[in-house]
Amino acid sequence: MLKVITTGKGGVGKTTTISTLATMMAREGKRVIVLDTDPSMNLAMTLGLPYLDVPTITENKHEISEELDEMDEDPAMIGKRIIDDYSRVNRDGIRVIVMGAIPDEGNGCLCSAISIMKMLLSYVDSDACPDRYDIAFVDSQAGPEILGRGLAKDFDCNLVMTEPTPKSAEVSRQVVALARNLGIDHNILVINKSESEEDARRISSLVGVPDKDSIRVGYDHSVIDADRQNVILLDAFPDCKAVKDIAAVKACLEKWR
Amino acid sequence: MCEFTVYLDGHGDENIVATNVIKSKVRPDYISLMDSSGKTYRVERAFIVKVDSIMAEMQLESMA
Repeated sequence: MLKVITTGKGGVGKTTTISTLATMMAREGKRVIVLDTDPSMNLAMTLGLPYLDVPTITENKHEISEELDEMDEDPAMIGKRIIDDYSRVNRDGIRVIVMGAIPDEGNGCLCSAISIMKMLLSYVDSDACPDRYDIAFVDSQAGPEILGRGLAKDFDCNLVMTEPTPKSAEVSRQVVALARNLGIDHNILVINKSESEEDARRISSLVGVPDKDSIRVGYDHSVIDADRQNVILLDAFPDCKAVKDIAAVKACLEKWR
Repeated sequence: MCEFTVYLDGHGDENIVATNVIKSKVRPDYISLMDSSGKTYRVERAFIVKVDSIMAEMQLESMA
């Protein structure tokens, strides 16, 4: 199973890109699972699943903890039960697991929910999982923190999203450095809303990713229109520039693999 | 990250029983541990001396 994480500053297009990539691949017949570890969880909605229909790990933490208490049971069975109970499948066959946000004020950190997500990833990547996914995408929260939590250890690829601004590039630079320390050697830099090749080269240099691993995604108002209409970008505007550029990201992932 | 490193009878690398532990249960004859990959461990005839969430560590000691 190919494991890909998207990282970068907030609002740079991680969720739109990952949902479009996942949909493209699922429609080609690949078995795709996506895990949303962003507390501002939008991935399920972007994939056409109504917000209220998708259970989150954080809001069901107590039930999951009780299931884990049955430690003497086969851990693989526990993984299967959690995924069956707390994930949903969209109409393209993409399985979606949402970590969720801190449910109540003063309720502590998200560490335990991240641990559960790690456990579920470990399960779907094991021989015990009967679904045999081809690819797992993880949509992360803004900034480099998710890499510090070790969730992406042993991942194949870090899809680093950035806008062509120094602030966004700086976050991406930190993300790439952490990813390399974590053993993720393949970092694809996706420069969103890029206006020129020169612009893209400048950002690649700031982030420290070679030009050959950088892909430009041009500004496209269709992305905003699809968001406003709450529809899947690929359904609403299949021939738009953003979709074509994201297809190049997919080609890069597949070529590398 | 609130995943625990569990030590037995000391605090050196050689005393590490499990890492990334997310759950532990005290049984009559052993302590069970589960790490964040779902792998389980059993430490026979031991008791918990300290749980430190600041250092994300748990220390066990063997029963005499």
